[in-house]
Amino acid sequence: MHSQRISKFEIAIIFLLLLLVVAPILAVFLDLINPLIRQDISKDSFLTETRIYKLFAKSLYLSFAVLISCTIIAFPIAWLFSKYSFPFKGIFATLTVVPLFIPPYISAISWMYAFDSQGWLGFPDSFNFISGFGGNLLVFSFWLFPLMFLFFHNALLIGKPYYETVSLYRRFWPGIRFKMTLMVKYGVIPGMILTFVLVFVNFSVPGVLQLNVYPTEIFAQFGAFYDQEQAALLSLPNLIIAIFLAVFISKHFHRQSRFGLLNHLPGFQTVSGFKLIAIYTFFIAFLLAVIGIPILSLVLRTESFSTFIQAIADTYMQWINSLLFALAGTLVICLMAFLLVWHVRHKPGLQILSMIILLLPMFVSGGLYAIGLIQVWNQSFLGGFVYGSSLMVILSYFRFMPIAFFLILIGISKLPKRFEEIAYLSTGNKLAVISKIVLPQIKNSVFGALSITFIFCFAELDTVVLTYPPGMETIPVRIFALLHYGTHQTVAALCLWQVIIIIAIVLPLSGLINQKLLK
Amino acid sequence: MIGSSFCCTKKSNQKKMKSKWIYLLSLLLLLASCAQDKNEVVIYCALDKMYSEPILKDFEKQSGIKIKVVYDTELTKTVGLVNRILAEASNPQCDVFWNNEISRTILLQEKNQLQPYPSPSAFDIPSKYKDSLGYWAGFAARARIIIYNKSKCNPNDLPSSMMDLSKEKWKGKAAIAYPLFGTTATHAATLFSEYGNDWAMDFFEAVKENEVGILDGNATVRDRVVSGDYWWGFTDTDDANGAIEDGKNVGIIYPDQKDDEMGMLIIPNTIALIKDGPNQENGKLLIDFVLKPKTEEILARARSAQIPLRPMPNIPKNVMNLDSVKQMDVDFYRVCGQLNESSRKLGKIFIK
Repeated sequence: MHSQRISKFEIAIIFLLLLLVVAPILAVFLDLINPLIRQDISKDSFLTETRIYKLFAKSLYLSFAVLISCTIIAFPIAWLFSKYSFPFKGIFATLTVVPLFIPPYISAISWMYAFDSQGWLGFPDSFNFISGFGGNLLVFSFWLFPLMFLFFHNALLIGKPYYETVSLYRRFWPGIRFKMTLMVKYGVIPGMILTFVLVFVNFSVPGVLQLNVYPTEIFAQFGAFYDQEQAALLSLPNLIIAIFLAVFISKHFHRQSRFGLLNHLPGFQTVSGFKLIAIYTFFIAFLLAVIGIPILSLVLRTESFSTFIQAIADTYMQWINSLLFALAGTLVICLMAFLLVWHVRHKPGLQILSMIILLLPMFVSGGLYAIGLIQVWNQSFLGGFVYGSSLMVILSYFRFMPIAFFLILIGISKLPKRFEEIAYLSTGNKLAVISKIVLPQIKNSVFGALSITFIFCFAELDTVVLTYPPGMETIPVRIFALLHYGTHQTVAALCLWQVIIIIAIVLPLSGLINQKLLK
Repeated sequence: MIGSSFCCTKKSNQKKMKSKWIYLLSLLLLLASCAQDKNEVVIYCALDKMYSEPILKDFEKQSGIKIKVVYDTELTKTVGLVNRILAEASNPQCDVFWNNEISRTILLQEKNQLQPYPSPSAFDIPSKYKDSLGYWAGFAARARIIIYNKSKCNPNDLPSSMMDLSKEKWKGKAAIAYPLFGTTATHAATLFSEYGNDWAMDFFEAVKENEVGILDGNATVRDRVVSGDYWWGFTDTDDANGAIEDGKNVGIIYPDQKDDEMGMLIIPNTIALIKDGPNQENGKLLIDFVLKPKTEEILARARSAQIPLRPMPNIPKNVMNLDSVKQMDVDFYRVCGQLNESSRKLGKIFIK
């Protein structure tokens, strides 16, 4: 069906990605070459300062800590859902994913509202952990564990037929080791990498929760000194990590592509009696903590229903802009991600290059990426066609393409290639194979990619604040402006609306996924 | 037979593909529909929408010129707009920059991004608050003041000076915003330029030693003082007035008012014409409009209670009268020249 020669269409896709995704990064980093050759980068460069290394280590520490805590939270829940069947399982599964819908800065603000000394859960100063490492760990973990849950759950379900076999082993350790290997093979690693990078480059949560991290220093170079060279120089280690992870993960998927499994969902054990009560108690308590506290904080801060209504009435244009940008961005990104996955599947040689292209922008700070986008697209010969138009916002969202890519890749990698080959032989039409055979088989992954990409696009601030066209402000930009000038009631009301709107759009979609996946 | 039907299917699929590409291209064109409208002006505005929008709408109504605005956020602390102007330097998209402070405007002037335009509306603005060549003009200022929590501070023993930040008796009770960003950075750079690097570094080391809360922004300082987490802190008049309007139990102190003290730092809004902007003439009209005394009056009566630089009849009670306070004697060009170095030095103290 596919020759190993790279077709013109595939070259076109790679070229498009290089232009859209890599060119902005190159634009920023090429500016570094001359000063580096001339050795006139400021004497205060990061190479000479131990505090910079400490900040880097602190960011790594926080990212790994979040990764571990997300694993600790997500794995038992995923295991529970993959093994047992109980009443209202679909509802609980859907609610488990909801914290991912709450943008992290909103979550940080709402936890602050809950725990500051006048908050409704206010602790005395000596016990108040929310400002600092503990608060950051909590907010990031509660935001990202659903992402890990999705990957774990997928891995557990896909590997389940093997586990059943392995359970025949009498000895404990070989069984566990085999299970872990299978889980890793079926996509836990991309989940871990995404979780790691989403913490490692995040600036807004540590900003709200008073923790200096490596992105704070990059932001300071960029924001306080307008020194893009230093900011780019400080981002170099991020790029090295991105390339390392890209190579690692592409090797992982290369190995995985030898496997091909059908969507085989074995039976679940039915739970009743004491076990059922224990499960319900756990979920109710846990969901109250991870969803209830932030939402209740926002509700209590909003104070009155009229503020709640007024907040949306005053900002309806920003909501429309955000929704249109996010919907268009999600569709474009998921389409691109699918095309890339499709070609990576059939041309393993493209994997490393594709992974590097995808991961680089995620590891660069949003502000720096935006500067690169401006440098590439603000050209007089283009007029206002790209820069100064909505396309700039959509280009800004390309940072989130790895999320869609990995979710679709994991979905498609369990589909045996022979299915496609048989279908192609009978139709001779690739489009028909994709639409009639492949997409129906991986629709859960595609829905997941659409939902999660939409959430990230809708809440994007770092890049969009520099690229949105004049007069087309988005809602996250507005919320952050109001943090300074507005009242807490308005900010809380807008945060609440943002959560409600994301849930209203994404929940039916994820409900559908759960219905298909968990029945 | 089979061959021809396969061929037809292939052709129809190709047609379908073509029409899909056409749809896709149309969608892209639709998304890029922000076409250049010649009778327009593009303004990058760091003053919040709720205060600036009514003024800009007024201009639009009176002149018939369409305004396109890019606003900044508290998170990016004017950084977004300045970085955007710098990144766009090869092909400027902005006509007018309305900054809510002064140092970044001078920075753009130094980086050759501004074009002089001595607006006729600026004739009565005090010379201290405008550039002699017309690169920028100031209006409607904020002041750096102390906000204090009335239930925490003893009314007979209130802080009164910037120097109180380093005094043992206030250990762990005071707060400021990160001195690397926004008006706090300007305030810090002022100390560096007026008192020298060594003195300023010693002072900020002492501030850190004294466990002064270094918070995310001036609004956070206000909020943490309101909540009682800190007893008092340095913030801007607009933040403090917002809290008082909301009925919070806080008060304002004008710092350093004694004869031997430095006085209070006043930071005006500034407006400037961007070099080679696409709609320069409209930009000039907008600058003339914004610099009229009416703008200062509107901003003084708003929640932010901005301080008019020109005499204003019937000044609201909550708005500071510049004639009645001791102002810091500042050379803004020197402060701006100092800003980068002072921020770098302070970064080493405060970002660890």
